[in-house]
Amino acid sequence: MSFRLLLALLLAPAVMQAAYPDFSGTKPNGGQRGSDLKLTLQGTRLADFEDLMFFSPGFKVKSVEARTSSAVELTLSIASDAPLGNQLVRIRTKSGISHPRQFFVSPFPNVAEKEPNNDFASAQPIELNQTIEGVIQNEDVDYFKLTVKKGQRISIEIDGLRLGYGVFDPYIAIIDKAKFEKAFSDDTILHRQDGYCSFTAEYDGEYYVMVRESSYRGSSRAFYRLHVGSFSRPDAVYPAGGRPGSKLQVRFVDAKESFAEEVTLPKDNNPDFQLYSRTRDSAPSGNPFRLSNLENTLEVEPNDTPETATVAVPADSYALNGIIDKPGDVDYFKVQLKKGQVLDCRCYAQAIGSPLDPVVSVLTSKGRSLISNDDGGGLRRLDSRFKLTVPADGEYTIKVTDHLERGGPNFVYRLEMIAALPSLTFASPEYSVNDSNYRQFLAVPRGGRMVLLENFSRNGVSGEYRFDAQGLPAGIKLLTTDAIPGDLGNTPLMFEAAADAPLGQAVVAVTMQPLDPKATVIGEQRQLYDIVRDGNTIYYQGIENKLPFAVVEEAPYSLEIVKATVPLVQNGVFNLHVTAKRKEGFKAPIRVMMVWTPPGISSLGEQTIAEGSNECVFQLDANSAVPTKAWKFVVMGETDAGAGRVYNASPFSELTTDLAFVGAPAIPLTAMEQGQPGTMVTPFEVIRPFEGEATATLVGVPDTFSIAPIKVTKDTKELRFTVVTDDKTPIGKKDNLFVQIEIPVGKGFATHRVAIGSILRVDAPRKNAVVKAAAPAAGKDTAKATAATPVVLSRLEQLRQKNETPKN
Amino acid sequence: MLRFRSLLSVLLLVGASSLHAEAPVAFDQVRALLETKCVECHNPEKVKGKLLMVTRADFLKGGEAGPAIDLAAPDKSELLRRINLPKAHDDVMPPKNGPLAAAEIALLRNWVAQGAVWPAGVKLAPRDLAKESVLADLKLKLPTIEKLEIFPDKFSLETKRDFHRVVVFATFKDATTRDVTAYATLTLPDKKVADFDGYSLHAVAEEGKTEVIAAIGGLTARAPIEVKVGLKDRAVSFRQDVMPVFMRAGCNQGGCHGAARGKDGFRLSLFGMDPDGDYIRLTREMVGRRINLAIPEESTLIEKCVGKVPHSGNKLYEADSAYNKTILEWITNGAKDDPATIAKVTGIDIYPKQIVLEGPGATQQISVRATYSDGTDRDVTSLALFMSNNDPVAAISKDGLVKSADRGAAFLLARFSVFSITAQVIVIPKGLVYQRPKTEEFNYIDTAVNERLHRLRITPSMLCTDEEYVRRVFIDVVGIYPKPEKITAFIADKSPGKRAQLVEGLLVRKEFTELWVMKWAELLQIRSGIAGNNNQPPFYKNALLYYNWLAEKIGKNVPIDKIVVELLSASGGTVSVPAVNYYQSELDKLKLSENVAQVFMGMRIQCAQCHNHPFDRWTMSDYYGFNAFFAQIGRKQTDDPQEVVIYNSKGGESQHFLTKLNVKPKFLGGEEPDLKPGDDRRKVMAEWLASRRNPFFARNIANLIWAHFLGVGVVNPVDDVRVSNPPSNPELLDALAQHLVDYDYDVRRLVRDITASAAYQRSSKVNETNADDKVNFARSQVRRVRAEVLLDAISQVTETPNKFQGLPVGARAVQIADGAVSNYFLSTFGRSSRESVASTEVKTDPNLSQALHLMNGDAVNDRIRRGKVVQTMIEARKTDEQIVTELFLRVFGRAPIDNEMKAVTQSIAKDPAGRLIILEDTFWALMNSKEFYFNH
Repeated sequence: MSFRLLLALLLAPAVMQAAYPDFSGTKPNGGQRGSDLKLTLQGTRLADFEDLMFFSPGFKVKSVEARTSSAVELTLSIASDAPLGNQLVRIRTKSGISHPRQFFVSPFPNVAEKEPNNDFASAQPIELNQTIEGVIQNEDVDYFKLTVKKGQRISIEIDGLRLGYGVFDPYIAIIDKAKFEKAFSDDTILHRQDGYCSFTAEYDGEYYVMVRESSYRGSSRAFYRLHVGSFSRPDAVYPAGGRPGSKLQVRFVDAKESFAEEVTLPKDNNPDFQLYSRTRDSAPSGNPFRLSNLENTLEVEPNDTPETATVAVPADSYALNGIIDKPGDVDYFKVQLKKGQVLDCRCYAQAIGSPLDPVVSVLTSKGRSLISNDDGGGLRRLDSRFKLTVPADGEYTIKVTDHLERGGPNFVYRLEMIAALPSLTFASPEYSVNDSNYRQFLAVPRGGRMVLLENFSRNGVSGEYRFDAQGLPAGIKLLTTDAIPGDLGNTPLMFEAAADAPLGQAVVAVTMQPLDPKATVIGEQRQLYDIVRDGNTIYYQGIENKLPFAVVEEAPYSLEIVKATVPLVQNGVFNLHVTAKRKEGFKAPIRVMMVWTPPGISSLGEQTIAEGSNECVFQLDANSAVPTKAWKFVVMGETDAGAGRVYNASPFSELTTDLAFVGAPAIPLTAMEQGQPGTMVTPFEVIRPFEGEATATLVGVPDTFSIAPIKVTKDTKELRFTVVTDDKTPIGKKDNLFVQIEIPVGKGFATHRVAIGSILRVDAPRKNAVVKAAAPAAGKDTAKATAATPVVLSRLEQLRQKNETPKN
Repeated sequence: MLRFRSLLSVLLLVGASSLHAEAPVAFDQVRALLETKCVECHNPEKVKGKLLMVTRADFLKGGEAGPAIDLAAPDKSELLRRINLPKAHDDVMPPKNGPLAAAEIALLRNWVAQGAVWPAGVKLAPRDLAKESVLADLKLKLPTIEKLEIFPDKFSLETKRDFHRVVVFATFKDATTRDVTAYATLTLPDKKVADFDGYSLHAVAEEGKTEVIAAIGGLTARAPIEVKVGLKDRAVSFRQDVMPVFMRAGCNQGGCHGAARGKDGFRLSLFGMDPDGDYIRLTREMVGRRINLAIPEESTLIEKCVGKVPHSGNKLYEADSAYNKTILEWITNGAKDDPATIAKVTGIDIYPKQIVLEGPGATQQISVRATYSDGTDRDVTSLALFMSNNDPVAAISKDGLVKSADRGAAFLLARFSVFSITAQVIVIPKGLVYQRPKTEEFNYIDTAVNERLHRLRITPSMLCTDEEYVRRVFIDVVGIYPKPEKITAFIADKSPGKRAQLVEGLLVRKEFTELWVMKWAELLQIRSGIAGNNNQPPFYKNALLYYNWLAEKIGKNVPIDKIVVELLSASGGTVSVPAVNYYQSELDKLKLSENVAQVFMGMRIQCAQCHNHPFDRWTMSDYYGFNAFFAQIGRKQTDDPQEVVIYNSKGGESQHFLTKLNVKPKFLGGEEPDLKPGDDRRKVMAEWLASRRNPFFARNIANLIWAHFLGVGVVNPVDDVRVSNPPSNPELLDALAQHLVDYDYDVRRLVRDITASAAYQRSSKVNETNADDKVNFARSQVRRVRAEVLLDAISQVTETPNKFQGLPVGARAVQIADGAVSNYFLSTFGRSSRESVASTEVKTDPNLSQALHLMNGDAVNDRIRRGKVVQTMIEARKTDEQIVTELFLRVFGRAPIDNEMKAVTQSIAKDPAGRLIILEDTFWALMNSKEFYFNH
């Protein structure tokens, strides 16, 4: 073993000890707020664990007891005001950031399930207001026993599917001592596969809670958190929306006992906002609640006919709230709309926990149906969603009903009809199939960079914007500082960490600020991501407006784009050279991604710098309409060097796009006989004069042709290629040919592609060809002239000549 | 017969003697021979070969071939030449049953040789020996005549063309019947109104009323005759007259021109379901060829049928037959299409409906009458198609003449237009010495069964023993084998009502419910997707929810009609409303309507998807009318990938396959309901389906239950109710259905009745009369125990619990929710995979792999070892006798007989060290014997 190899082996773990940690689970899956929790993180590449990254305030890693590659033991401090429900958390190690997982905050202390508890006799004793952490093995049934007083409410709720360990479909039941299921829940609208139910004790004594998989299946990863208490468990809230920062009277619709409460809504807009009761024992998870600036219109029963419709106060946009409270109920509203308005109409029903499968119709004042929608989708498939273009000013009737003509007190809906509001949002694309969380973070290596692509979604917003990121970890700075023009569809968002930046983290809301001081719309991130997903089926999704940042250890390589000395011209080509600097001992291949290309420029998405190699080339192709401008290109490396993926992006590198120097139309079909020479000619246009001599090459023909490149100058008027063929030249048509011209610019060449779409055809040799007839002519004076500038025959002339051939 | 044979022997004697001496021939003998063998075809009514054989002069005059008798050269007489031809010769006489016996030939030769002596004034007349024999037999029977009827019971004659056959039907004290039309005195008081033509009546006046009177054996029957427009003629109609000929002659059968592509370039609609199309094909294709209006006789349609030109279907009828005349007349009249107002057939009747024939060879003429939408009726016996479902018992000729053979019962089907109807024939041995046995009659079931057995002259088996009964009800009612202590306790019980008490005890057990949940789960096709791949819809979870829904309903004793209404009108998600999973078991709407008809009404209407049902009443309109109830099923996905919402889409129609027109919803065999747009058609259909308005539902459910307990349905197979497969005992089925309805579909109460009946309690030991009986419940049928019950039994007797997917250890195979969940044993023994609704999904036929699996597989041997039943008994210090007895009780449900006991104890005595092995081998042997896996 050579010394160098030994050194490499020794260095390797230090260089790549962990990156992109894999976060596969936690034990337990949640904890009580206002407590310190012993938490074990499971995964791989965790040995250099640093901290947890929560997206909500109220969490702190108090101490780390143990770190191994596959597990980290720590004490987590959960503040008493930490939000309830599922919270997004990532692991940060010294070298990377993990995928997010959920961490569930409960009002109750955790109790671990103890097997055997598979029948009544062995039921595990528990108390009210506890959260049981358990697992359902295959065909496993877990029983718990609790003692209550008559009249006491027993509420149970389970987090199973939501924990995100795969598709686990729990079934829960409250069973009395005579073994009758008094209440049970399999699936719910609010929590999909996860259920909840309540029962009021009929006697003093023991009741049982049973948990199983709904089809008696299960697995070692079918974890659950079962909340048992006396909490109220509303299905939905009515109305299910209100203005941020306002006080609002709402009713929590609970199958057992509905109640009204005045709530104060937060000032910040949060698309995932959940409402909890403050007057009752709150449920372990909240009810989705829409924060929006619309004025609520509440239905006034009876409104079962167009005549008795509830009339909304005229406005640009509406939020119509109601309940389809009995089977067959139909709710009508009247709204004033203006001609030409385009309203984005969404009926939130299943999305807010209501069993209603809404069907929304818009009728004119004369009762004619303008549009009717059952399942337009959105967050939930059965909710209605449609766009309404108002045909004329006037009063319109809105009809809401259930698709199956059902109804009930919890059939709450909220129909938002929003006239186009100006907005600007941005989000990263899914970088991997079926994994929306892949690489959606900024783990910036010391002395290096990381970049995301951001796609813009503008709605009535134009003008220039600029990214703004406040509260970044120390040592990280935003590199995408240029103004973003109002017509640009996407741009790279890049950050750089100083070489001496301390390892650290922050969860930051990056915004886009308008350059125009009069503009009011601020650009926000609206990143849709999967929380629970199984293949193509997405069970839970969230929307996030913050990005996780971390300074991580220096990457074992860095990339650089070789500075361009010539412009990329319209219809031109440019070879972008990327070089890699490797740390000593680092040899692994590097996947290099072209993060972004400006409009009008295309390129392969990625190239690989092979093991041991230090360079790769991206060929950029410009179309004819590419705007002339200086663009900042960036590439990012991803390496899987045996211990997780490490990212490092190149610095921005400027490349100018410019007008073409020259141009030429396609060479029309040129035909020649096999074995005979031919000439391909097209006019040559010099758009911008250039110095020196350029080389023009006909590209796209097989090697069996011999077509010599020609030299052109700014004075050349036409491109003339001589095609030499022999008896090996294949017969047939070759199309999609073009002429590549290397125009000298400075020390380099600007590559042009002209005469795109030229066609060449080789015909089979004629029988009895008139070779002899041409030979004597060659001896004459005129023949010389012909030889110097051979006459180009058009297709028609060729045919004519062919017909005139003596038929001897 | 007796007379005929003696006559023959006389003839033989005569012939023999004539060889010795030329003694004068007795004319009486010649007369008898000629009248029985020749005159039938050579009389003024029917002059074959233009030869009459009534007087001597006729013989001398001769026919086409010249004089029959040549007195100058007697040996060259045509008569003698013909009777002496070899059998295969075309000209041999008589053509049927020829040639004559040698003695007969000799007789005629001598007679002719002696100058054909003929007593003056003697005219020969045809004689039917069979008829004479029947008449003689009838005379003996006549004193016991009980009832005389004329069929049909009234006659209505419209137009000159109309005629009706008269059938006179006598019933005797022993319940046998006879066709006495030919023997009764038939009179018409007013022959100016109507008259006979053979046994058919036709009008002779324009209008009038009279009656037909039949008298025989001192009884008289009368049937009124009414004549309307009796002298007016009626044009031959394409639909009313010509199309029926196509059906009768078989032209439009599936194998002939009725095939989808026709035959030899000519296509007719199958069974004439599309007269409009047939008219076009006949008259507009190959103009001038199929139908030649100029020379009607040269129409291909005529020439092919009468065999004038080669025809793949051969000659169908004679040129002078009524069939040919009808078609010829239609063509001669211009082959016109019918006006749109042409009367349609509204139904057909068959007479007589119940026939009891005595001995082989008895005959009965059937008469079929069709009624039309204009109020008229016609005798269509000559146009109907006849079929018997049991030819060995009673065959029926093309013309509707029934002829009896073996003992038994048969159904005769007559089909005309789109209608089918049946009559029942019972054949009992002739001269049977029978006295109605005193059989137990415990309830209404026995009344119906015993009456039927009496009619068939079958004596039922005796009641089974207590040992047999306890085992039988355990297996049938709860699907488990009785434990030894249960058997001994039951046998020891001396109370008179102990059998009923036993059933009461079983009916409240959960195993009873589970058994019926399983049976319904089969019919409702509760299963998940492809086995082993539960990502394939329907999903396992949904199958489980669906099963639990059914189990809960049946467990709570919700009447089955209510369950069916809820099931078929369910809307919602497959997870939240499990009943809608029914609609996920079959997504094809046509198949779905077929399934509903098959499961809930026991009918297979599949045929009518493409053509009118050939053996049943269902037309394509019925089919698509029923299908229209399922035309508006909407389906949509939800957020849950395992859930689909089934809803009333309020749009969509059922399109007739042939006419491409939308067909309005119409109950199968019922009316068209008044539906408003948007009404849930499935709900309307479900409410009708399970109501008393639907005559099929209750009968079907009752039959399903009956078949479970008796092994054979009253209609068998249970899901093949059709006109041509009628119930073997209609009164029994009606009674069961009526009781089930009266019990508000409480299955338990019907089970109580069935298990209490003598019919159910009969022994499987047969007697002489009921050995062949399988369908009349004269004895208990030996049935192989179904797969699930058998596996549970093996588990029980060997004390080795089973484990099935999703069920705890020790759960019973009967409890498996999902049809797709199975194991080797269950599949081998024919567990239903619930992939179709057919009753044949459950297989109880024994086969070799079953026997091999029991013998060599792990089903028995391993379990005996694992369960340690014998070892435990040995350890409990039981004696050999005790152990053997217990093993017998466990496995066979009975104590061993002496020989059996001896065989085991002697083996042990010989080899005391091998006691455990011998006893385990005994256990194994018992479990491998048929007595174990058959219910008897």
